[in-house]
Formats: sequence, C-alpha cells, structure tokens
Amino acid sequence: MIGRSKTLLLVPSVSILAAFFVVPLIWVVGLSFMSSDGTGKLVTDFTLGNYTRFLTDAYYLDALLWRTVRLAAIATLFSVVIGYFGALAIVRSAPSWQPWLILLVMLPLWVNLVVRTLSLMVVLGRTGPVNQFLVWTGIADRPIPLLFNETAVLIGMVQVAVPFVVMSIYGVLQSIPRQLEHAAMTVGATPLSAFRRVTLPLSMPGILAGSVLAFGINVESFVVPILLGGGRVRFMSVAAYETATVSNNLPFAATIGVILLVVTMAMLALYQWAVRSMTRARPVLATAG
Amino acid sequence: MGGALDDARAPRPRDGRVILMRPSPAFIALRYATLALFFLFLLAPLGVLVAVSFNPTAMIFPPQGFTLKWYAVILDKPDFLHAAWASTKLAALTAVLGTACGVFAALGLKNYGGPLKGAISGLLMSPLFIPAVIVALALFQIIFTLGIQANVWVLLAAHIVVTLPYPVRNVMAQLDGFDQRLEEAALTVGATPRQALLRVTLPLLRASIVPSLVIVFILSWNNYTVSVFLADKNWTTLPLQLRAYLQYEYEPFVAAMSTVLIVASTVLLFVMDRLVGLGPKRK
Amino acid sequence: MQQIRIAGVSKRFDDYLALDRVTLDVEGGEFLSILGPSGCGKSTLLRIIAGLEMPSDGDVHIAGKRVTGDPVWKREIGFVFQNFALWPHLSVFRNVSMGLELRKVSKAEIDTRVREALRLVQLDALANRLPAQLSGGQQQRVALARAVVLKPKVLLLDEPLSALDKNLRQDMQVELKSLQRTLGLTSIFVTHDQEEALSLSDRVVVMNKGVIEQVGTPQEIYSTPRTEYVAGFVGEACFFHGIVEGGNVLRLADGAAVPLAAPAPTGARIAAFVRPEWIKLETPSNGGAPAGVFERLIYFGQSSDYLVRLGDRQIRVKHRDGDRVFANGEAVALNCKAWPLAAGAQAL
Repeated sequence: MIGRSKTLLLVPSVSILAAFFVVPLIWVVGLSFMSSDGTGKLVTDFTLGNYTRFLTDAYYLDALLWRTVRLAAIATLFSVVIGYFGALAIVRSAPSWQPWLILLVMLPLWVNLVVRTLSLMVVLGRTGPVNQFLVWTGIADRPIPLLFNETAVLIGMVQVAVPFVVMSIYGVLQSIPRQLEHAAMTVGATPLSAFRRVTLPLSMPGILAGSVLAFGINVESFVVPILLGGGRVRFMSVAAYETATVSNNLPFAATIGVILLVVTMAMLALYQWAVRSMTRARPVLATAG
Repeated sequence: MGGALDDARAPRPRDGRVILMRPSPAFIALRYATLALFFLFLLAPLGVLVAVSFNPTAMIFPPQGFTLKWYAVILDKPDFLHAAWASTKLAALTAVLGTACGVFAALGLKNYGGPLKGAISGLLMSPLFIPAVIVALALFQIIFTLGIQANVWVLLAAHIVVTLPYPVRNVMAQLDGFDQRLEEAALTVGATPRQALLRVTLPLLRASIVPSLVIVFILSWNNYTVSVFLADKNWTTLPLQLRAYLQYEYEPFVAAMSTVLIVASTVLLFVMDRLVGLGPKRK
Repeated sequence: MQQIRIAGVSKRFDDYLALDRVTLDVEGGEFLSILGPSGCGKSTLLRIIAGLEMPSDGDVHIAGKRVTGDPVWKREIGFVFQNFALWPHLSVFRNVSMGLELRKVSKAEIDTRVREALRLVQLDALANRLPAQLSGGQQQRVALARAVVLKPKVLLLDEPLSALDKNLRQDMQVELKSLQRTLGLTSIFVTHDQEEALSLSDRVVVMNKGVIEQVGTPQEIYSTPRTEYVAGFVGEACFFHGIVEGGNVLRLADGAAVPLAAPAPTGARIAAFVRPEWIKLETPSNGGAPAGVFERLIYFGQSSDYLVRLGDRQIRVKHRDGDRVFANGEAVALNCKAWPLAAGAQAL
C-alpha cells in the first residue's frame, strides 16, 4: 500500500555491492584466465595457463592448497571438540552464570586479531610459559620450538575459531530441554549414555553449523599464518596477497583467489547437503534445532 | 517416548531446571574443571600479554618486575596514535554508513515484493560467505588495473561491503517479528507513511540498529585483511601498524598498546551488553 | 443521516475473493457489529473502511464524502486494534497525543485534550507510564483514548476485546458501550463472539465467506434469522427439516410434527429451528411432537441444561423452573414452536 518509493531504499546498498563487490569479483574471475608478461603487464588473451600451472605444480597443490585445506580441517576438528566441551560446560552451569560466561566467550571476538595472535606468540615463544612448563615438568629437557611452524598456526586457528563454535553449539544445546536426558535416565540410561543417545544427536545441527563456520574462517586465515607461521607456513590467502602485491602477477593471484573461492563454495554446498539429508532422515532434529 | 519428543517442541519452563536427579559430586567437579580449562585456553594468552606489558625488560612472561614505562612509550609513538585515530575515523564512518545502508536495505526488502527479492537478499548476505581476502584482492586488482591510487574511499567502501550483512541481518530479523499494526496504528491517527517510519518504526528499530553500529564498528576497527590490500600510507590502520611494530620492534610497548586495545574492546563489549543484552536472556 | 456508506465493495487477494459486493449503511451514532467466523471478510471490510486496504471494486463514503481512494491518514477515523498496537517506546500520554501532534495542534490544547481523553477512560493517573507497565485492560483503554482523542467521524474496532480474559472482557464491554454513548460516536465493531455482538450493538451484521448474510437488530438476528447459517452462528440451535403442512406445521421425515412460529407456504420443503430455551420437555402423549430420550442434566450453577437424544442427534434444552424431574433414559416429547427459515429449502 505504501508504494514503490520504499524500493528506492535498496539502491544504496545494492549499488555499493555492485560496484565494490560484484564487479570486482567478476573481474577477478576474468583475470584468472589472462596472463601477465615478465614485467607485470597484462596479456588479455584467454588462457587456462594459470590453472594448469597451479594444478600441475606439486608446490602449489601440496604446499599451498592441500596444506591450507588440511590445516583448516584439522583446526576445525579441534575447534569443534574444544568448543563443544566449552558450550556444554557453560550450558550446564548455574543459569545466573551463563550470561557472564557467554560474554567471556565473546570477548576474544572483540579483541583485535593481531593482538590475539601476538598473545600466542608470547605464550608459545622460546621463553614463553608453555615452554617453561614443559621444561619444569621434564616433558622436554630444553625449550622446543613451538613458533613458526604448522603447530603454531594450528593452535592460532583453533583459538580464533573456538568462540564461533561455542556460540553455534551453545544456542542449540540451550534449546534442548534437560528433561529429555532425565527421561532417558528414567528408562535406565546412565548419565553418559543419556548424553550420547539424546543430547549429542540433538545438538548435531549446532555442531554442523559450528564446523562450517570454523572451516570457513580457518580456510581463509590470513593474519594467523603470517604471524605464527613466520613465513614458513604458506596459506592460500597469503599466497594470493603476495602474488598480487609483491610479485605483481595479478592473473595468477586471481587464480589462487578463485581456487580458494571454489573450495569455500564447495564446503558450503557440502554443508547444505548435510543439513538437508539430516533433516530428511531425522525430522525431530529440525524442530530441536 | 512420544511425550519426551513433544517436550522438545514445548517452550522451556521458566527456570528450565526440573531436577529429577542430582548430579554426583564427581560430575560437578568435572564440569568445573572443564569450564576452567576451557577459559584458560581461551583467555589466558590475553592475560599473559597484559602481564608482559608491565615487564620492564622484554617480551617475557612472567614479568621480572613492574613498570608502567611502556605505557608512557606509547605516547612517544606518533605512528600508533595516528593509526588509532585513522582506525577510529574509518570504523566510525563504516559503522554509520554501513548501518544506514543496511537499515535502508532491510526496510526496502521488506516492502519489495518483486521477482528479484530472493536474489537481492542473497546478494546482501553474500559477503558473509565469500572470503574477505578475495573481496579485498578483487578490489585491489580492479583499482590497480584501472590505474586508481589506493585511497580512503575505496577502503571505506570495502569495509562497508564486508560488514554489510551484519546490519542487514540484524534489522531484518527484527522486522520479521515486527508487528505491522504498530505502523498501521500511526497511519490511523493521521501519520503519513514517512511520519510513521520516523516516529514509530525507526525508534523501535533502535534495538537492532544500535548493536549493528557497534558490531560494524568493532569489525571494521579490527579488520586486517581488507586494509592490508587497500590502505594507503595516510590510512595505516591500527592492526597494520601493530603488525609493523611486531616485525621491527618486538618490545613490551607493543604489549602495552595491545593491553589498551584489549581494555577498550572489553569496555565496549560490556557497555554494549548493558545497552542491549548480548548473551542469553537473564531474568 | 448515513455516517458510513459502503457500496458494492469487493476485495480480491490474488485468486481469493475476500469480499463480494458488500453494501451496507451505518447511521450516525449507531453501534454496529460485524459478526462472523475468522476468514469471513469482516476484518478486511473494516480495514477497507479505515483505508488500510483498498477495495478492488466499489465505494466507501464517510460523513457524506467519498473516501474510496483516500489513504488512511487522510480519513478521520479512529481505529482500535486487536492487540491494541500501542507504541512501546512512547508513554501513555505520547501514545494518545501523537495524532494531535501530527495535526499541529497547539501544546496547550494537546495537553487539555489528552488529559480529557485519559480521564474519560480513567487513566489520567498513569499518563507517564510506558505501555509495558500497564495491565491488559489499561492498555485497551489507552488504545481507546488514542482513537477517540481525535474526535473521529467513525470509530472502528477490530476485535478489541479478544485479547482480554473473560471477566475483564465483560467489564470492558460495559465501559466501551457507555463511552460510545457519551461521545455519540458512530462505531463499527468487528467480532467473532456472538454474545458480545448481541449485547453491545444497535444492529448486527452477520457475514459469511465474504458476503453479508443478514443485517438486523440483535433480537431479529437471534430470534428470527433468515438462514440456517445465521441461526447456527448466533446461538445454539436445533434444526428440523421437513415439509410444511397447513401453513403452520412442519412434518418431519419420521412422522413427527413441529408447529411453526410463523406461517410458511404449504407443501414447501424447509428447515426450521428452535433455541434451547424455546423447548419444554413433556411426558410423551399422542400429539405427534418430536420424541426423544432424556439423557442427563448438566448443572452450571446459575442454570442447568438437559441433554436429550433425538434420533442420532443430541440436543440441549434449557431447564426451566417447575419442570418435572426426568429419569435418565426416560422417553420425552419436545413441546416447542420452530422458526421457519427462508433459505431452508435450498439448504436441504
């Protein structure tokens, strides 16, 4: 009834997105099929050369793409396990505590990522508390290098992703009535098996959502591999940045970006598929989620 | 079992804790231990960093003394102050403009029944699903190709693009549950649609607009990935400046700066929580 | 003078015809109820009068002026919503004053008129509260004050009492009616509650599936409805189907005869109905009255009903003082006069 003028309200956001998001993305995809000569000048002829180069070179495939995906996946696994325990412990604590605990979970999300990564550099450093602990307990006889390797990057990614996972899982856990577990116990389940048979399956939607979020964040990690990997752990996003700004090979940087995009999209599609097949198989989960 | 499943759909009882069985002390201990370990993992590094900022010697934990000298050093670092000011301006602009765009878009989308509705809402949310590094790379490439110098306007637009889904989503969620009759009631007492929007809808949307402003501010203020591609020398933002210090001057004054930022973020988080309640509902 | 004139109004939503050529006049100062089940089009009609919807066809006149194309904010109406739709961010005073503010009325006059309106609904003490701090009944009164403070040409009420609990609803009915009388406001009241409609209105409009079934005084609607639908909707009814004999007796298929309260054409196949309080239970004699079996008595406190099995139907009969006591399972005869329905022939 109020008329067409409200459609005009869409104009600012849609035009910003068109100019600074859609067009550049299309440009990047187009660019990935071009090449550049030695001096960084663009050659606009269509070529699959960049993709062939990427997909046939063991360095790009193993040290870059596979490492990114592998580390992101492992970090996701750890994040989900740690995040699940965290969310469960929070949801089972006194109701008056819960808002404060959730606020504490959110706190790192509000702190600058560079600052958080720096804090890990101090903690994992040669003289950091972790190494002191290892030496003091005798697990290691002298400080071991924890920084500037894959483990450090892994720890960093887990640190970054865990709060997101907790938020996803906490929401779902909170919506599962405790009585469901109690009901299982009244028919003879131990607390542990009641959890395994009732709460865990009902919280699957949260686990899935948390995983996809964590993986999405990890796979595009940028600051963490730069700072904690110390240049030794190359990631897709870092490679794209360096190729574009240092080597000035724009088409190849675009190719790396597009491949990263494809990986992200494939993972999202997989998630959609998992959610759909899960709700189809067990409709109860849909209502609990 | 049917009854139990029905419970899943029923609203949670007010206190949600119908105690049938008291958990054993071992379970309670386990729960507290998990909680402690979890938060140790999550927050201890930040605590270590704060402690290091008081260390008179080097970036080492535990501190070998107590000093505030590193906080004084901050004031001698014009780069840092300049970056903080640049970040604040950029984040404030992003928050105001991005949230305004988001509010407009959510309102527009609600009233738009055209064939492109699904496509437009998908477009508005899509920066959430596309890695920010690709958005930044794309913009970098296009301005490089067009021969445009990196400038603050492109940087600002990029910050708006990657944060736009948050205000759109927040405001749309509130509009979804918005009682249309509140606006209609204004019309029945003689308000034009524009007056109804200004006097009823927008004041009520404050509940999603204020959090959007804060979230966008914080996201923009903390953003590294987009800025590293697009910031020119005059707009070196805080995260970029901190990273530069890390590379060239690994000294406790960086920890002091970080502490300042941690405190600022914490204060902002708690103020925001007081304002709108971030966590689960408390009674 | 007609305060509201609705002429041939239709409303189509996509494929669905919500209103089908509705024509209705409302007199100045009249309290008119529109009664019908949900989805009958009554709220749509009210929203069209208000201008919150536009009719697909037909015209609306308010106070002698054609307002069909006018937007809601130009029509001088007062509207009370089902859930009150009070603005939660504004005080009671500001809720009531907004309409006046928009009309650029002076501060002093706003203050006087708002105070007056709030006094009218006995809320002058709570002017600075927020809606959330009020009870349901108080919110209802704020909504009323917000509508009447503008001195509207017509007051439109969309199921305004349905959000209240039963006792409060009855109190508010009395208050609403006296407010309407005091102000002499032409009012249209939409409801699905027949008791509410009958007790409040000067006239009742019964709607069904987008058309008006009948318009009449509450007495006409209740005692002399024209259709089976109206008879069944406004109160409990027991229907008889048969053929009219001798102009005033209905012969049923099982041979029983029911006297009619009004003449009907002999030989016509019609329906007639009785209300529970029109029936007197008697010991069967050979008069040919419909026979049934007494099942049991339902006790309500202030009154009681009999349940009587009539073939495969169970009907209610109001207990009256002086009725003899029946035993469960005892055979009874129904002594009553049935009201013949004009549309009964088609209904068969």
